[in-house]
Amino acid sequence: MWGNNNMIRHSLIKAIFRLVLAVGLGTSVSVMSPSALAQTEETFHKQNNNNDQVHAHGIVETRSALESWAPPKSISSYGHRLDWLFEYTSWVAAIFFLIMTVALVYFSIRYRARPGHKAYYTHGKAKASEKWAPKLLDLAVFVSLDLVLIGSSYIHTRDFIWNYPAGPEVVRVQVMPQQWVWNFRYPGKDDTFGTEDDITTINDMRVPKGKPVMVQIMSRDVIHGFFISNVRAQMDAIPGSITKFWFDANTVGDYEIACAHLCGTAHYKMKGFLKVMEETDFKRWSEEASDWSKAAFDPADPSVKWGWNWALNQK
Amino acid sequence: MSTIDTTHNNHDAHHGQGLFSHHDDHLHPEPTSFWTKYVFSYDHKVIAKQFLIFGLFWGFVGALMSVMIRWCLAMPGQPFPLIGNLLFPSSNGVIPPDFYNALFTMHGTIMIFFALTPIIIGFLGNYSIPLMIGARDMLFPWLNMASFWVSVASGALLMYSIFVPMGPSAVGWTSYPTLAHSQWSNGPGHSLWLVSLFLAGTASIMGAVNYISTIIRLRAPGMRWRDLPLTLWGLFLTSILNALFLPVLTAGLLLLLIDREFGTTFFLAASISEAGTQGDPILYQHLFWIFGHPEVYIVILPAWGLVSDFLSFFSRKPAFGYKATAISMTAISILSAVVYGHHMFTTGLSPLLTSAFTTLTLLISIPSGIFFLNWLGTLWRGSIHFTVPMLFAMGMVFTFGLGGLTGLHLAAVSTNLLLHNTYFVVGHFHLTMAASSLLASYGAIYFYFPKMYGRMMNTRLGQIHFWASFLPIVYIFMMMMVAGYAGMHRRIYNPYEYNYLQHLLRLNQYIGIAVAIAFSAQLVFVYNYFVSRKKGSVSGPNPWYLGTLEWTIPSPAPYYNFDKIPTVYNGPHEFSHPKVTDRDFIRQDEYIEGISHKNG
Repeated sequence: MWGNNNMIRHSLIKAIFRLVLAVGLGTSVSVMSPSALAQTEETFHKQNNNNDQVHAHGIVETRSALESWAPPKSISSYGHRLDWLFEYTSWVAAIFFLIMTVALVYFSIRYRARPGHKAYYTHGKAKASEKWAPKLLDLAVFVSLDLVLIGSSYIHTRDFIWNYPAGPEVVRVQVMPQQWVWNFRYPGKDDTFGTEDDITTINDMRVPKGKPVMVQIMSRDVIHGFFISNVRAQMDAIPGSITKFWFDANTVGDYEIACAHLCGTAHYKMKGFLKVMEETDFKRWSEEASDWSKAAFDPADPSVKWGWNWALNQK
Repeated sequence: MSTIDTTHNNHDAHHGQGLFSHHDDHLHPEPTSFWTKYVFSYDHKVIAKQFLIFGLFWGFVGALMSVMIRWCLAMPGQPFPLIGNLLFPSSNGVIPPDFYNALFTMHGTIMIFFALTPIIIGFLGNYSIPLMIGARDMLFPWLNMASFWVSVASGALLMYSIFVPMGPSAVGWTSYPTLAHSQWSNGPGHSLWLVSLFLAGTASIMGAVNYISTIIRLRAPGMRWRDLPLTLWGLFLTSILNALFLPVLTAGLLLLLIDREFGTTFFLAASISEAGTQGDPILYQHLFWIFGHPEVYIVILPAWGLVSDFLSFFSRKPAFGYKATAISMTAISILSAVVYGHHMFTTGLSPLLTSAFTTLTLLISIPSGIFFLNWLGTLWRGSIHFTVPMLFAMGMVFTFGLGGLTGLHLAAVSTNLLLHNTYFVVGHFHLTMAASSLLASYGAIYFYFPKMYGRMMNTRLGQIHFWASFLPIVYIFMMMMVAGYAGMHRRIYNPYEYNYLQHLLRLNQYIGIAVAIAFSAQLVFVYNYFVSRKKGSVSGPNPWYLGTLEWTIPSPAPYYNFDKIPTVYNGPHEFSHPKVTDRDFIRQDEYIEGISHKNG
């Protein structure tokens, strides 16, 4: 491989690098070893089985290998439209990617350097076809992918992303995350925020099935990200300014709310729960909770006083 | 130390390119003392090597951090092997969550500002620009040296920040307020990070000014813009973006530093700071991303240029659609300034802004598509030599194709809402800016190694290095996108806290294995690099049989590069010309009647 001079130094360098390689490969092997994998899964399941919250909510989904490629079940009325757009973009992109890969592989074999084979001298404009073929293919990508994405984004924005529901049936929730919990506030029986009968919960968001839910968010400390994978929506929580979005949930059940924005050491544990209830159940719960809140209201407790004027921030 | 270098070059600048021949007798002897030759050198080739070693060192640190990150995700709660107990004695070798946050913060910072930037801009720019344009050095050699030593100071501060009390910065490489304010990230770690990045930005601006001026002023006589190798187009555009947008970043970082250290409230909102103050954390995001999106192109533009050249060089065929490629790269550089809003779709931007940013971002796919198809056009009917640089270039075509197409999902506001802050984003930008620039950087190192040391790197080890890096890299980042679509969000120490992510454990373990393989493969490169310097086969002046100017001088390149400043008569990619029968390339500095242009 290399010349023979300076053998001692050469072998010394070799030995050092063998050692480093062994460390590197050792790491890979220790990751790969079946016993290590099994051990991890064991401790992993033990940890999670001890997690009472999970059991209380009973959200354990079993999935086949293929399903693990899919996001969690969509429960909002617009989720499937976003999913469709994602899948369309992915499939069309995959087709173009396949064409590209086939071209790369085919050219590599067909035009590999070999005796008697000479490259064709062109700067890409020797023939009209050379000039136009790339531009046409580029146009095909633009029309089939980019224009669809631009159009869909426009329609989606008009139809639901920026088309907020209004009216008496809308469930209104104020969310104020802080390191590392989610605070929720409902207007309560009097339908007004900032009164004694407001329902406040921690990490526990409840919504009635099929009703539009309007959410206003502001952070108490750092930026958080309110992310419900099941409804295919997320919105940042920003200290000092109020953001908003809406969703609806069409399937009764328990879902998880994630913090999608790095917010400090326990960011990974900042998990809330979304409980989608039958409408009557939700009504009963909110009335009871509103009564309890009013009964337990303590004006001296500053922690219940967060919140803001809903109407000022709605439009 | 020879201060006359600057005089010499300034002189050239004042008098224009035609006067080079007058300076042949002004050649100064090579410095002989250790300090002036190897440490505080003015020589662009030495500075390039310094940047390369600097970048490789930090790249190793950053890669080690990525191994630790993947360990946490693959083996939650398990002690890190071999060095775990040494580093984390208080948690029995398990990486603690706050250190995990520091790990990905440092990984991102290091890889972007201390590994990729020094290698693909510092090394490649310094090494290739004067040699490719037929100059004896950069236009401002002192500034060039200062750029490197400011980078070293910045790297030293970053290294120091890892060991300060309360730990290194752990707020993500984007350093969003208000998490980045002292109320929520206490201790000197993040302030040091800010100062360090401020210096890194300053160093890059110094380099950028130098590159732009050098390419404009010091091109050899006869070298038209269309005779520039595309590598230089990439580096030129990158430098313009650097010079325009790094000042915005450094200004933002400075404001944040003042917020942290002196209690101002540029980025602190009224409701949570003292009464009467009015700041906005979103303002920082605007400042950051108006730099941050061009930064993606800053790192990838030299790689595009380099790959465009390599594909032509090793297909023995002129670059397909040279002009279209150069125009496309310029168009992307311009567009890159007006698309940054797609990083902020979830901050509640108005529908007018989201539509505008969606459309502008997706427009980038037109010029990208053009030069990408030109790459395939260059390969078409070529005579492809699978040298190691070519392998890396073709690998880059593959990763960039994959990364580019998955960028579409993120550009549109609709699909962005599904994918924002998930591993889909992580997989996408690693494929485009990280893997693609990394592969191109390696290609550049293998390519210029004979010019740097007069010896070839070992081909077999190079091939092993390529396949053992390329295959895991593609696997890692594709699977990250799968995990992201399945809902796994970024920057979480233990994803399995969430029930809907628990089934991703196996996937993350496979990614971990691939990371370990890719990491080990880099050691093959390090071995090859250091041993080939002394033991590689002697390369000769033109081992790749190319016509660009750097291959007309001996290897290793002599101190003053060109005895006589060459005159340029041909484009950089004149291969397989039907009228030239004795060889398949035409040197840029030879005049052939009926083929060459007469500008010289």
